[in-house]
Amino acid sequence: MQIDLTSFLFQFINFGAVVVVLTLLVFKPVLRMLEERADKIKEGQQAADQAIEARQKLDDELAQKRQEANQTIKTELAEIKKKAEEKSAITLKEARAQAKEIKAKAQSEVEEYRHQLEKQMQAEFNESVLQVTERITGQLFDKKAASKLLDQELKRLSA
Amino acid sequence: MINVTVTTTVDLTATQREKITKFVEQKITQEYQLTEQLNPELLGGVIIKIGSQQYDLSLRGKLTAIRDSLSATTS
Repeated sequence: MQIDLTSFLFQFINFGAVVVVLTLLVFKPVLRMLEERADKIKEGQQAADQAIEARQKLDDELAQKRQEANQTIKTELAEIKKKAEEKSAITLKEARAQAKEIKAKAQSEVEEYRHQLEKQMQAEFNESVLQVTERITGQLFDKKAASKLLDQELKRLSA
Repeated sequence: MINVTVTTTVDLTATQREKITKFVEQKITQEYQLTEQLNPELLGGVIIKIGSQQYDLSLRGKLTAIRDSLSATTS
């Protein structure tokens, strides 16, 4: 096989021209475009990282706020519970004292009423006994007995 | 003259009257007029009233005293 030098040179020059043309017109714009795209991707990645970092920061802040809020609620609830228990104890104490007072008053009234009733019954009983005594005495004392009683009284008078 | 009233449930015997007279004369030295009264309400015994002074020895009086004493106790 024979090599045509002229044709070879022509082909060589032609290839070089194509390489130059491609380098200038295609390779550099494509390379630039790829670099720009890489830059955009890099920027996007950085933005995404920043967004993730911001999100993480927000999540942390939220968690901290939530924890603080829970702690505050817990503290306030404990305080409210303590106050409620104190108030309840005071109310219970007052109620017990009041109940004790009412009970004592009622007992006193019952005792007073019972005492009055006993006195009334005693007085009625005494009166009944005296009335019966008077009645029986009036019936039992004939003249002889009455005279004898008179003698006894006069004897006592003389003494 | 002082009025002396003797109240009984039965008529006085002479002995009883004498005892009463003796009692009255122990109490007063003045002249007096003795009046006898019957009152069955006394139940027994005697009430001798010398002027404003009264000596209640009746059964009614004793019962009244008991009643007053019991009333004072129960009131």
